[in-house]
Amino acid sequence: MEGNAKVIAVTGKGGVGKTSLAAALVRSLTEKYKEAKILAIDADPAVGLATALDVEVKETLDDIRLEITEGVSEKLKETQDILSEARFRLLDMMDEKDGFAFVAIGRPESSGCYCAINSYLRDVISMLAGQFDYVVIDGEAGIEQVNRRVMEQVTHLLLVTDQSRKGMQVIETIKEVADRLVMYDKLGVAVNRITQTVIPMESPFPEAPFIQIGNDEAQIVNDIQGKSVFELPADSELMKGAGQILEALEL
Amino acid sequence: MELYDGMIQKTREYLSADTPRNYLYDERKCWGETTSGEMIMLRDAAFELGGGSCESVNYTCVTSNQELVKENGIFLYGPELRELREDTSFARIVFLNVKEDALDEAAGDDAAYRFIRELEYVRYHIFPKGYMVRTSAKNSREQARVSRDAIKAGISFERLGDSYIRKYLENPKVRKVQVIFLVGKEKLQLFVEEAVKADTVTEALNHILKGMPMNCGSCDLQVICNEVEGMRALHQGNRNR
Repeated sequence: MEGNAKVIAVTGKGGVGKTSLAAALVRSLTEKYKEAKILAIDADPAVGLATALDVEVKETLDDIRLEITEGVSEKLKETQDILSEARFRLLDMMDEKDGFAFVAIGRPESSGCYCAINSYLRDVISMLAGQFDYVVIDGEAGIEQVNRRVMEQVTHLLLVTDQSRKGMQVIETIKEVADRLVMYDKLGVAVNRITQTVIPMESPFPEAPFIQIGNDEAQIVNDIQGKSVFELPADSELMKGAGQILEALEL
Repeated sequence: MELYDGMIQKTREYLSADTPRNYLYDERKCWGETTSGEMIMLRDAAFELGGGSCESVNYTCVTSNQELVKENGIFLYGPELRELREDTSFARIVFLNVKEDALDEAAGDDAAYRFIRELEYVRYHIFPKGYMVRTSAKNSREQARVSRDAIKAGISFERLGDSYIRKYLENPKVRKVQVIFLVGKEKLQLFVEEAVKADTVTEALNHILKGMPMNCGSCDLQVICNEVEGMRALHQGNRNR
């Protein structure tokens, strides 16, 4: 990516609250840096981040991929035209509100895709992201996202887990892959939705900041009512946790 | 080469009833640029040119006829940027007077086509500060989001035009440049048609200069060949080479 964008990737096992936490990070950043350019990327095909941030998903990157692939056989023949078209459509699909912009990736790239178009789209989204000050990526469950170019220049990798052994194992695997593929500068671990305190939690990566976030009843109610993270009380467990993460990762 | 001359004349004919503000090219007035563009968020934007439901169009016409494009200049039809208060329709049209040898189809293969494309691609390599441009080659559209800070700092079509002209003149085969801005014009359809024609001519040129076998009777490009002066002659000449 170009420029000095701080790119925060939120990854972890499905169901540990990554999306809520990513949304809370976006809200915290908008409140902390009112003038900053902040981009939220929903890399989960289920586009849960959109709901958590209350933004409209007009189109996804997948829709654009399809449209441009069709255009290539007609009018778009030259690389520069295709790149420009991709940028044009990406800006079209970008929603903006409350001090941040939002894009949804949609379905992941499939093997039958026109490879060149995928490559162009990756270039353009990478270039666009580089024009923001902060980029928060909500990755889909598992480690697939770590292989994508949009994740290649992540500056801050946040591994999210719950208290389960499985959740811990997943973040250990993600870190292994990330160490090979992702050029991150800072690592953080967040244990989310803590309900038991009998057994003390230990980070598998003692060198990284370790943030523990209690189970958030207000967030559960918010979810049930379909409200966005912007409607959560500032002193809710989730928002306090997001604040601690920004501080721990020096963001 | 006279392929785009008709489009230059038509464009001027469509604008003949209006009086533009005419600025002579002044390199010292060029508006500042960023290295690779910037993101202007809606909250920081004063307005968009050709954005949303407003029409927009962009095309470039190349000629070696010195009489058609005599001087470097900027022609503004409509309000200056500082006078705008809301999103509006927008067109940016460029006429380029280039050296004859640049368009010499005998220079080999698709040299003339590549040269014209190179000039069209100037639009992708200019990044005025506080002026976020996005271009759709597919629909011949160009939109720009203008930041409030840029308006405060004095951005204008005159200064933007100067920047565009300077960029085109970096190519030693470009002699003169005219940049036309149409702002807030109610209907752009006639200009959209010229944009489509210009694009079709460039594509036809590519086909012809690549020496692709074409049977005029069944060729999709026959319409443009018949309509655009010089196209048929170019085609025949190339086939006989």
